[in-house]
Amino acid sequence: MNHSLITTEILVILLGLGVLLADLWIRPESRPALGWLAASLLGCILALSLGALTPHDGSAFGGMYVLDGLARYFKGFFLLAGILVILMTVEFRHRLPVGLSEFFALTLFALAGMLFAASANDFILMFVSLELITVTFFVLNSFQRARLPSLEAGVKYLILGGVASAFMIFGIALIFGSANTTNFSLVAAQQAQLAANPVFLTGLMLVLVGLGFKIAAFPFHLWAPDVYQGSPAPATAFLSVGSKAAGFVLLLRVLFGAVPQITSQWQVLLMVTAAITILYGSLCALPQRNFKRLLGYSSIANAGYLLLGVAAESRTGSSAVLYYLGGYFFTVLAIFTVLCSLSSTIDNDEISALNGLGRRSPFLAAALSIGLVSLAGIPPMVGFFGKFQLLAAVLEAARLAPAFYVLLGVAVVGVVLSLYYYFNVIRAMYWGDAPAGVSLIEVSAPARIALLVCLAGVLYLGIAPGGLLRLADGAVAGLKFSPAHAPSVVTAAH
Amino acid sequence: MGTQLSQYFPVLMLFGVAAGFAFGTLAFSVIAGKVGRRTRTKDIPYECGMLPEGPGSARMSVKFFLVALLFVLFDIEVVFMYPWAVNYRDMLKTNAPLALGGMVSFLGILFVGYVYALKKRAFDWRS
Amino acid sequence: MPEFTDLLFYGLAALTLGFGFLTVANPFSRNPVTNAMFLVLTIISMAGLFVLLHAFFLAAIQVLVYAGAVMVLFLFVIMLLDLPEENRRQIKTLTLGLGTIAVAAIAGIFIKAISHAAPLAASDRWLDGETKPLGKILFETYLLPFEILSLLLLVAMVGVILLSKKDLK
Repeated sequence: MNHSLITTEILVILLGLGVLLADLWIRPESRPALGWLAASLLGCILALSLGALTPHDGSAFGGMYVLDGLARYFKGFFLLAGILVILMTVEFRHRLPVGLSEFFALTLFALAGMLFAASANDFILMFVSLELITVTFFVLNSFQRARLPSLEAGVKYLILGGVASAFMIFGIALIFGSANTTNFSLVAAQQAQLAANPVFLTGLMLVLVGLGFKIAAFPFHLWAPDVYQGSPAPATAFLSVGSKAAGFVLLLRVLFGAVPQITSQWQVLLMVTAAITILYGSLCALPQRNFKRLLGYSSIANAGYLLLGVAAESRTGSSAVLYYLGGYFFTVLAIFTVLCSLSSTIDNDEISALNGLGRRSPFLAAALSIGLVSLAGIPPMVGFFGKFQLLAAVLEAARLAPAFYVLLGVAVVGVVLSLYYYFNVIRAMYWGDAPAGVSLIEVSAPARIALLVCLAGVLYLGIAPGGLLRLADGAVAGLKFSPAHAPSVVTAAH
Repeated sequence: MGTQLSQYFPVLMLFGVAAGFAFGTLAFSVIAGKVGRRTRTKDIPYECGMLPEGPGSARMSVKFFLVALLFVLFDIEVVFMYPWAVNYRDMLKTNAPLALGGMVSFLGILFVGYVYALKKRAFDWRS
Repeated sequence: MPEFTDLLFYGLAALTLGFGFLTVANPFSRNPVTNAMFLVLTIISMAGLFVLLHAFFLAAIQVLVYAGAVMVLFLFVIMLLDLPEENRRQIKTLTLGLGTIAVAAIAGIFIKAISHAAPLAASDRWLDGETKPLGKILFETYLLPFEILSLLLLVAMVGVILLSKKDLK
């Protein structure tokens, strides 16, 4: 057993506990400084975890916990997200009258859950780490307890999250009952028999329902718009980046680590889910007037694009998912950092409140525009290259299964629709009339740092995608893609 | 029927006696007691006082909820100590540091929660 | 002739389902406290099922923690909300229809799965549900999830104080 592999997680948990305890003795004025400290210490952990801390891959706790390329990719992703979200929270502190330090601590605990999820190679560890993330978000979403929308977001997330967890644990019980193990590798070893076992398949389906809730895929997306709208902006940002990515890494591990053979039989299910999710998210985003609600629907649509890569069931598809998540990360965090910077001057999240932002703060308006343009998928931003990769994977799959051409069409329709609703926001910023008698908006140092990091990511990864793409491709090397298409290749060749 | 299961027969009997006692006393009071004619006026408490108005139950303070939830959380913590204690001697032979360390870290993390609740005056009824 | 334990199982399972139904849809009372009390009975019947599986520890926990502590919490919340005798809510036909379809679909999948499932090889050994094997599994195989559980409890503790403490500084 090699317990030193979980050093990164232990350090993050200790940091969280430290923040929670430190808050009890420091003066309230120095709480933002605590956030700075936590973010910089997290930066140290990130730097160390890339190399010195855990130099070797391996598994621990009886194969329950694995540290491989996929885990490393997502751990770096989550740690960076944690740093940026804490900086964002410092910026958002005017709207959090109580419990700023607890917000940092809870963010760190959710981060620990995500780090465990990235390494989970066992259904039980997967469930417990997802529960840690979900329960933390119950609190983070309803954090502004004097604001009704925030409480509504918390309650909706609680009820639907509870139902999703119930489905998942029931599914795990059925899986354990039919496979007599909860370990992904041990399940994979006997999947030939399990593929014919209807009880196992039912269990697997229920587990996928639970994961579908995390990534907000149709038909488990109902919570997303209300929760995105009502939650405090840093919580929404972490939810849309961290929680979604945790759902995807587990989806990849279950589908292509534990049961690749069964996955190849379920390709149609994944394709239909992806298509409906894209169309639903894009169509419902069209009439939205509230910016955060719009982002909620946009996140549903993006879950659909990511599912395209999963449905392609190929190495190209999965590495495209990783690359797209990387780009989505910088893009979404840039947008939410702008929202946090605006939180002290603008008191609602309507799109009309952004009117005239181009003149009030050219920097914030430019940052928001770059983020939105990237989400819409326009070159040279990272969003373009991510969508390009995903569609390339779909095209590759279409050579084997022509149904993928339909999926390609759906994706293109979604992209065209998204141009409309994203540019609506940009139009409000530059061509909308600013309300009379408003001043320029100051941007503080932490927000400036976070924004510059995000924008650099959006532009650099869009112009020079090679590095991240190689990283993503290496990370998915351990996944197994069942050669279910092989017979159709043969027939195509004849 | 398993031998261990038959050991549970006294428990079943206990359940039976408890349920029988509860229902028995109720039935006895109905049978033996004089069933007078009930009127609306008779059912009102404090017949000679003011007429009651509004709902009978007052809304409870959220403080009860806070205490109850903290109780449940610490309750669950203690629950885990029982199977640990049962296995402790065996685990000492195979992997002693993990046997103790596992539970100490579990309790340590929850102790942080206890300190937090204490300092935030969650146990202070009057604040 | 079915064995005595089989009869016990069917009896307890029927009680669990019946009480569970009365918890969510009680035709006699709309009082939430009554529903909560039926939940207690459901949980106690489930504890009986655990005893049949020789999971004595889990059965005791089921009664002590769930029927005891967690139910007290439920009752506190019901009293906290101070719901009036709940009026029969109007359920839309569309909602009812969609709900029925969803439930029927899930039930159909379950029935199909279970009826097609090959019964496992008859195991004459008792399931490892007794306290000692349970603890062994918990503290050796599943040590890591157990440790994460403490963090989960801590988050719940911080969360409840943050959300319900009146004058938080």
